[in-house]
Amino acid sequence: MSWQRSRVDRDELDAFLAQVEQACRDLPERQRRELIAHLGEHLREIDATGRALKEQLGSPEDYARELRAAMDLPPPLAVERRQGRLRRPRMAAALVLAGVGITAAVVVMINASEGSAGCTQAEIDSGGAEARPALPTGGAYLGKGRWAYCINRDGRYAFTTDPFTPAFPLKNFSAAFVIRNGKAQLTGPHFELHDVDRRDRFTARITFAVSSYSGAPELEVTATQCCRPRR
Amino acid sequence: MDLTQMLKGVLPLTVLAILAEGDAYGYDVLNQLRTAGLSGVGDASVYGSLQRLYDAGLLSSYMAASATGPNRRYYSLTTSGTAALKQARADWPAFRDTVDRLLDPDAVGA
Repeated sequence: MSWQRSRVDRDELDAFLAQVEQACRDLPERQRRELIAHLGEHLREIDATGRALKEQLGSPEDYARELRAAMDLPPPLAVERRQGRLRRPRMAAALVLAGVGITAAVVVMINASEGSAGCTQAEIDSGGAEARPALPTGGAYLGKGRWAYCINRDGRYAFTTDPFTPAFPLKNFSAAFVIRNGKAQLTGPHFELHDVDRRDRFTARITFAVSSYSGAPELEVTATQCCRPRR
Repeated sequence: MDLTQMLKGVLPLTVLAILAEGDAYGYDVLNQLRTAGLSGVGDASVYGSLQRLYDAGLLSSYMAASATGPNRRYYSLTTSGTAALKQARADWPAFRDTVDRLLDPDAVGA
C-alpha cells in the first residue's frame, strides 16, 4: 500500500464541495460547515484512478439532492420555494429523537390555585394561561423562562415554546423546576421536540403532571442544552 | 417501485448494524454495504445516513491515522445508537413478515 493511489484532484474536490455546500446553504452554519468538512474527508478517500469526481459521484447537484434525501432534508428546490412562505410545524424530529434519549430541563411557573396573581377567571376555568417562551439559540445554555399556569386541577399540563435553534446534535437537553410561593407535587418534565423547518428551528413541547398543590405555587422552568460531546 | 425508496428506509439500520461490528470510516461502510449485496447504494446516501445518525447522537466520530493516505474519520455507535439498533432488531422481524404477507398473501405462513 502506498501513497500512490490516485487521489482526487484537490481543486476538483474543492469545487465539488463548494457546490454541495451551496445546495445546503439553508442549514445552520455550524451544521453546514461540519457536514461539508466531513464530506471533504470522506471524498478524499475515493480512489480516483484518473477518473473525474463527477464521473464517479454524478454532478454536485445530484449528489446534494441524494445527500439531503438521506438526511431527511427537503430537496434544494423546495428550500428555494419555501422562502417567504409560512413555515409548517413538522413532526420529523420525533423519530430522530426517539433514539437520542433527550433528557430535558425546564422551569415553569404555576401560579395560583385559587385564581390569584394575574389569572383571569377564564384562564382558571380553562386550566391555565400559557405563555410561549422563547429558548435562545444554543451553546451551553438554552435559556430560562417563566411561564404562568393558573392551576385549577391536578393533572397534566403542557406548553410549547416559541421556535428556537438548538445546537446539534440534538441531545444533552435538560430541565429543572423551581417552585415558589406555595407547594406543588410534580412529575416530569417530559420533552418532545418538533422541527419547525427541518432541523433549523425547533419547538419544544414540555409536559408535566401536577399531582397536588397548595397555596399559589409558581413553577419556574429552566431549559438548557449542554456540552457538545467531542472525541 | 423505485428500489432506492425502499433502501432509504432501511439504510440507517444497516449502517448501525455495520458499525456494531466495529468502527469504520465512510468509504469502508459504503464498501461493506455494496459487498453485502446493496450494490446500488450511492455514496451520498451512505454519507447522508452517517451524518443523520451522527446529528441524532447515535454515532460519534474520531480521526485515526491511515497507512495509505490522509487521516480518516471513523464512526462508532454511541450508547443511544446501540439502543436504537437493539430496538430495530427487535422490531424488524414482525415488520418484515407483515410486508411479506401483504406482498404475497399465498406464499407466507398460512
